[in-house]
Amino acid sequence: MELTRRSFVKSTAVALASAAAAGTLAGCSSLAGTGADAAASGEGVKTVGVCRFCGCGCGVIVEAKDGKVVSVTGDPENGSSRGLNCVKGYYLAGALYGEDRLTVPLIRDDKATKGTPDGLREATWDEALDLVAGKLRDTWKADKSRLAFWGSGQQPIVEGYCTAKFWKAGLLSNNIDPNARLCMASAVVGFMNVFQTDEPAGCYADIDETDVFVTWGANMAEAHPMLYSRLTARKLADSAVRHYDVTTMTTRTSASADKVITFRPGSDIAIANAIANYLIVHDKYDHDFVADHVQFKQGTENIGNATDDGYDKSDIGQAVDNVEPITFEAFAARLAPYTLEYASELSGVPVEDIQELAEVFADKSRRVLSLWTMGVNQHNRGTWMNHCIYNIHLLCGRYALPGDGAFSLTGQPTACGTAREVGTFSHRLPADLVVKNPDHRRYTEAVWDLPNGYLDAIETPGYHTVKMFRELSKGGIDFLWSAHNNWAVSMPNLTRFLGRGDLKGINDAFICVAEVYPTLSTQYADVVLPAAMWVEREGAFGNGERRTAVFEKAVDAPGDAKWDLWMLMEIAKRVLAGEQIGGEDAFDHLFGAWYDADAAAFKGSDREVCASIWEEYRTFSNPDLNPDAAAINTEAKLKMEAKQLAPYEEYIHNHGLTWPVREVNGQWLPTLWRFCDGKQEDGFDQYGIEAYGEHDKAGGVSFYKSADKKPSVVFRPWEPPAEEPSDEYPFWFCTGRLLEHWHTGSMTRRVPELDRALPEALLDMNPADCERLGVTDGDRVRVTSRFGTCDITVSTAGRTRPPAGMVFAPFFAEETLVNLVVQDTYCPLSKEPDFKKTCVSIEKIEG
Amino acid sequence: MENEKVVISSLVVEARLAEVEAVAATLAQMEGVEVHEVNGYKIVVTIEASSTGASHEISSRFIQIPGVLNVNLVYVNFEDETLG
Ligand code: SF4
Repeated sequence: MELTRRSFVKSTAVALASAAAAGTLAGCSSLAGTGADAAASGEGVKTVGVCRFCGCGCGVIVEAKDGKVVSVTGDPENGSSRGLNCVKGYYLAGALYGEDRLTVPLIRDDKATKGTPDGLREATWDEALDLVAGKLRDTWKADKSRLAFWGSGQQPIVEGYCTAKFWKAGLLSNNIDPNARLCMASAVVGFMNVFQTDEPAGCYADIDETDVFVTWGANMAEAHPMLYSRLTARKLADSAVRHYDVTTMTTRTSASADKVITFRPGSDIAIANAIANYLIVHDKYDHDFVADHVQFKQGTENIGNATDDGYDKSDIGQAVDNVEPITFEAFAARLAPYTLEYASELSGVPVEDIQELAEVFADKSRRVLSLWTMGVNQHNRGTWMNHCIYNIHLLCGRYALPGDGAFSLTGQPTACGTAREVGTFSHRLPADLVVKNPDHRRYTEAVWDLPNGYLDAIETPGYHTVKMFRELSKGGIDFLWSAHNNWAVSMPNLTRFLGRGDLKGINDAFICVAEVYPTLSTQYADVVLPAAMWVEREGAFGNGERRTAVFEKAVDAPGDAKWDLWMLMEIAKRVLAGEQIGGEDAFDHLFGAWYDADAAAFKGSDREVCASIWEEYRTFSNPDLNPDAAAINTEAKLKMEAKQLAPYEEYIHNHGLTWPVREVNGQWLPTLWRFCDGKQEDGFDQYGIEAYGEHDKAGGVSFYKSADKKPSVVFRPWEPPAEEPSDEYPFWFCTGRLLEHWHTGSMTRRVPELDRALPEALLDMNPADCERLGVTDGDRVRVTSRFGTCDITVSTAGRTRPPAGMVFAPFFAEETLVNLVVQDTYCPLSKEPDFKKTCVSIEKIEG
Repeated sequence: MENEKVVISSLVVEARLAEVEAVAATLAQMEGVEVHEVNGYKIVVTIEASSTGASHEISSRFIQIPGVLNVNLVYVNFEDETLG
C-alpha cells in the first residue's frame, strides 16, 4: 500500500473505532465514500451489509474496489450491533476468496465414487439443471413421498420464501425442512406452546438494561460474541450487575460470571422447577402478573425417548403435544416435590446455590434477563426446558419488559428470518401459519392466488430433518436437494446416515448440493451447483431479535457461480413444464412476477427482484394488500398484521428494522419491546396493543397473540436423559461451536489463518479423567458410543473445562467427525436432536 | 517501505476499569499495535500486520491480557490481500 493511502486508511480506522467507542477522535477523518475526497484517497464503493456468520446479525459496511471486497466496517447505523463486530469480521472477505471456490457445475457419473473427493466432472449449467430437474420431476411423478429439500438458516429470506412456495404450492410436498431443526426447533415449539407466536418479546437492548444475567446452557462468548460483548460492557458500566452462568461445564462465558452453577447433564428442568416451586412456596411470585396474564396447564408425561424410528407414530409419540388446563393450586401441587434438596440431589448443585438463584428471581428491585441457546434446545426435553424458563419468568412477572425478560438466542444468521418467519419447515407455511390448519391454508391460497382448497393436499406435515435422513439412509428417498448446509458433517449419528458402511441409501438416492466450497456433503452429491455467496447477490437476513436487514450486492460471483434463486427458478421451470394452476401455466403463476422463463432471466435487477418477492411475502403480514386475504384474516381472527413487515426499501434506508414495523404518519417504525405498552416511537408495541391488547394490565404488558391473552405456564416434570453413563460408556459427551470456526467450517476453514488459530478439533477433558485413563495432552483417543466411533486428540488446556465424567468437542472438522458418535435421539415435541448428552467410552490409542 | 503489503484494522478493547491503563500499556508494546485513545473502559487500537491472519493472531492474544474482557473489531482493510 502506498504511504499516502496507508495513512488515509489508518486515520479512517482510528476515527471509526473511536466513534464506536464514543470517543473523541471520530472527527479526524472523512468517512464518506463519495466525492472528490474519496477519489483522491482511493476509496471504493460502499454498500450496506450484514455479517455472514452468526445469528447476532451484526451490520457491516462493505467496501468494494475493482470487483473485490477490500474492507468491512461495523455499521454504526445497525441497531443490533451499533458499529461493533467480533473478530470473525476479519474473515468476511477471506470466506469469499478461498482458493477452492466452486465456480462450475459438477456432475458425478459413477456413483461408486461417492464418499470420495473424486468422481465429479465439470458440466454446463444446462446439463446440470436438466439432470437435477429431470430426477426431481421423475421422483415427483412416481412417488412424492420420496423427494426432499433440506434448507437452512443461512438461506436468505426471499430465497427461502421461493423455495417454500415451489415445494409447498408447486410440488404440493411438505418434505422440506431446514437445518434450523437442529438448533432452534425446541425454542420454536416452546414459543408456540407458551405464547402461540414464534418470537422473542424482548430485544438485544435488554442486555444493556438488565441488572442480572442468567445464562442457561449457553456459551455466548464463543457463539454470540457481539452479544457477549454487550453483556460484559453492561457489567463494566455498573459494578452492581451480576451474572449467573448455569452450565454443565466451565466455558469462556463463565469468565464474566459472579457464580458458575455447574449441574449434572439433563438436570436443568429439576433446577428450574425448584426455583418455580420456591417462588410459590415462599410467596415470592407476582400475584398481579399471574392473575392478569397466566393460564396453567399440564401435559403428557413419561414420554420416553425418540431414539427408535417408530417413535413418532407410537401411541406416546402421538400424544406428546397434548395439554390440559389445571388450576394454579394443581400446578403448585405438581411442583411441590421439587424442593431445593431434591433438585440438588438430581443436579449436584448445592442447595444454597439454587436458593440464591431463586432469590434473584424473587427480588423485584432488580431486573433479570435469562439467555439460552443449545444446551437448552439440543436436549431430549428441549421444548420442556424452554417451557420451564418461561414458567419462572411468567411467575415472577419478568417477561416482555425492558431488561426483564427471557431471551432465546439464535445461532444462524437467518434461522429466524428464513427458517422460522418464512416457514421452510415440514409443518409450516409462511408467517407462523401451519399446514394442518384449514384457515391457514385458505389464507396462504389467497396470497399465492391458488384455487380454493388447493393446499388441502399438504395438510399432513412432511419429514422433519432426522426423519428425512433416516429415510435417506434406509433407501426411502430418491431425490434430495440440500442447500446452504453441510449435512454430512452436521447431522448427528453420521454412522447411521453415512450408511453404516454400505452407503446403499445414499448411493441409490440422487443428491443435489448447492454450495460455495467442496464439503463432505459434496462428496455424496450427484450434482454440485456452484452458488453465489453473501454479497455476490442481494439478500436479507432475519436475526435473533426480530430484525430484518438487507445486504446489498457488492461484487459479482466468481466464474459461473450463480444466485441460488436463479437455480431454483430454472429447476422449477423445468419441473413444472406443462403443469397448470387455475388454468394458467404453473411456473408463471407462481413465479412469473419476477422471472421470465423463456429468457431464463429475472425481470429486473437484484434489487427489483428482491423487492418484488418481498412485496408478495409481506402480504402475509399486511392482509390489507390483498382483499381475499383480508377477508379470511378478519373472519378467522388470524391477526396476521400483528407481525407486520415494512416495504422493502425501508430496510435498506434504516439499516434493518425489528418487526412488527408500523406505519405512522408515513414513517415505518420498528418494535423493540413486543407486547409492552408504550410509545411506538420509543420502541414499544403501541399499535399492537391498541388493536388487540389491553392497557393497564399488570406490568404494562398485554399478550394479545396468546389464547385468551394469557400465555401458558405448563408443568413439565424432570425426566432423565436418553442415556446415562454406565460401566460400558462412562462419560457424557457434549458437542458445540467455538469462536473461530463457524458450524461445519465450510466457510471459515477456507481461511488458512483462521484454520491455524484452531487447527484441529480437540477433545476437552478433565485432568482427573486423563490421569485415570493414563492419557495426556496430545494423545490420540478413540471415543465410542453405542452409535459410532471417532478418533480425536486430547486436551486439558482447551476452551472448555468440563468437570470429571464429561468431555467436549467442537463439530467443525470433517477429519474429526464427532457426529459419528452422537445420538440421533430428539426432543419428542420439537424433533430437535440432543447433541449434548451422548454417553461414550474413551480409550487411548497406543502407538 | 513504499509498497509493503499491509492489513490495517481497528478495534475497541474493553477492560476492567481498574486495569485499563495497564492493559493499554501492554497493548502498546505489542508489535504492530498502536493505542490511540482510552475512553473509560474502552481502548481504541489499530493493528498493522502483513495479512488478515496475522492481524487475527495478534488480536486473539488480546483476550489473554489480564483485565481484558472483550475484543471488538470495528474496521478492517484488506485491499492489499484481496486485490493482490
Ligand atoms: S458476532 Fe456474529 S454476526 Fe457479529 S460479527 Fe461476529 S460472527 Fe458476525
